[in-house]
Amino acid sequence: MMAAIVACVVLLSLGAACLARSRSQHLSVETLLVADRALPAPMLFILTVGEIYSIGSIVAFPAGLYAHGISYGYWFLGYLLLAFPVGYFVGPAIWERARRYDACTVPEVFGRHFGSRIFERLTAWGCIAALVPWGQFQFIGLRATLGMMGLPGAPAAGLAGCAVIAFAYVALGGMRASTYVAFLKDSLMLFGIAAVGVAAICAQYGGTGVHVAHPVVFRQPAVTDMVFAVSTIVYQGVGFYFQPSVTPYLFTARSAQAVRKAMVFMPLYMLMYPFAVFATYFAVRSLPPLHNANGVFFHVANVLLPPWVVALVMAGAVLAGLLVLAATSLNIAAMMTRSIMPRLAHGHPRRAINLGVILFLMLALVATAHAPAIMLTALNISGYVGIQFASLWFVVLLDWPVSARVAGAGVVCGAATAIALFASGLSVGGINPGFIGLLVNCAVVFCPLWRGRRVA
Amino acid sequence: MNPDRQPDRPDWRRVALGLGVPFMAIVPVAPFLGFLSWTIMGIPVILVWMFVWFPLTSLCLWLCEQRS
Repeated sequence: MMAAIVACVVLLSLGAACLARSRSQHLSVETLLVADRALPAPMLFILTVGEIYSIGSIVAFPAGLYAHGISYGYWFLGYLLLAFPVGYFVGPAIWERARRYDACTVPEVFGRHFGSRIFERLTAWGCIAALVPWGQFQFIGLRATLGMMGLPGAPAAGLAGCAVIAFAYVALGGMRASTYVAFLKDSLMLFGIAAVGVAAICAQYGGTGVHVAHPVVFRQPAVTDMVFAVSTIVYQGVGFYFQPSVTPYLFTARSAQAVRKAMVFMPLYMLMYPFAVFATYFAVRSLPPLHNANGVFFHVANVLLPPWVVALVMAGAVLAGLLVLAATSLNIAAMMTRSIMPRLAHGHPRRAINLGVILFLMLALVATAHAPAIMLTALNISGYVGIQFASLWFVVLLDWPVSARVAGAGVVCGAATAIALFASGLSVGGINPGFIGLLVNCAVVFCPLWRGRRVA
Repeated sequence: MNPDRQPDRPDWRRVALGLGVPFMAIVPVAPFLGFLSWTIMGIPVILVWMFVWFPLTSLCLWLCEQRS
C-alpha cells in the first residue's frame, strides 16, 4: 500500500508539472532556467523553500540531532535562520545584477562582470564541481528512502525511475514546473513532520499538559563542538545565498521587491523543526537505540502513525529529493551548454540543456551505484568549495575594482585551504575549515586593494 | 567592470534591525544557552531559544520592510 500511495503522489506531481507547462505560453531557455524572471513573491517563496528544505530536513536533521546532540541541532537551525536576514539584504542586489547582465546562470554573472569568457568558463567548472555532489546526495537520500519503503530489492530500477521523473520535471517546464511541484512537496512535508511531531508529543506527554523537568537526553556539547557550530553558522549563514546551488533561484523573481518580500516569511517555514525535534526526543527517550540514525524520523513515524500517513511522509521525502535533483541537474546542464560548450548548444539550446540533464542524471546514477562512500566525502568537500564563491559576489555587488585574475586566485586559495585543513584533519581551535578558507579567500581578493589604496 | 557605477547606500538602521538583532540572538548569545542543563518539555533551552527566534526573525524583517 505504501508504494502505491507514493506512486500516486509522484503521478500527481507529474500532473502539477504538466499544469505548469500548459500555463506557459512558450517554453524558451529563459522559461526553463529562470521562469522568465516572472515569479511573484509567493511563488518565489514556494520555489525557494521547496529547494532549500531538501530530503535532508526529514532525514539528516533528526539523524544528526539523534547522533550528535545539541550542537548539531544548534548549528542546523542557526545557519538556516541567519541565512534569511542575509538573503533579505543581499538577495535583491543579486537579482538586480543577474538582470543587469541578462544572466541565467551564476558563471554568466561573473563572466560578464569581469568581461572575461575564460573566467566564466573556469567559474562554471568550479560551480559544477560544487553542484555534482549535491545532486548526487539527493540520489543517495532517495535510495535510503526507497529502502525504508521496503523496496530494497530493486534499488537500481527505483533510482532509474527517479531519474526519469526528475528529467520529466525539467523537460515539462524547468523552474516553473519545479515551483508547482514544490507546492505539493511542501504541503506533504509540512503535514508529515507536523503529524509525526504531534504524535510524538501525545505519546510522550499523554496529552495531560502537566510536565515536570526532564533531564537532558540529547548529547551535551563540548566547548570545541560549540566553536565549530558557531563558526559554521557564520560561514554557512553568510554564504548561503552565494552558493551556486541556491543563488539561481533568486534569478526567477519578478523584481527585487519580490525577493525581499519572500525573505520576510522564510523563517516561518522553520516552524516545522520543533516537531522534528519532538519526534527525535521521543526516539531518544522512549525507543531502543537505532543502529542507523538516518532512519530515526521514519522509525518514529512507523511506530506512532498508521501506514497511510507514513506513506504520505515518505512521499514528501521522495518529492523533496526529486525536486532538488531536477533543479540541480538543470543548473549543471545550463552551465555546461551556455558557459563551457556554447558551440554545441548553438541553434538548439533547449535540446542541448535536456541532453545535459540526461547525461548528468545517468552519470550520477552510475556513481550512486558504485561509489556512494566517495560521494559523501565529495559532498563534504563541495560544502567547503561552494561558499568560496561568496568573495566573487562581494566584488560584484560592491563593484570593487578587482581583476578576474585576483578574484579567481582568492577562490582557489580559499578552497585549497579549506580542503587541505579538512583532508589533513588539522583543527584550528575547532573552527570550521571552510570559514578559515573564506578568510584566506577574502584576504587574497581584498588585501591587494587596500595596499593599492594605501599606496595611492 | 563599470567603475562609474555607485553601489546602493545601505540604511544602517534597517541593517541593524533586520540583520544585527537576529545575528546577536543566534551567534553570541545562543552558545551560552547550550551549556545549560535546563529543559522545557525535555527540549534543551538552546533549541527552544532558536524556535522563539523563527517568528521573531520574521518580525524583524517585516519591520525592516515597513521602513523601506
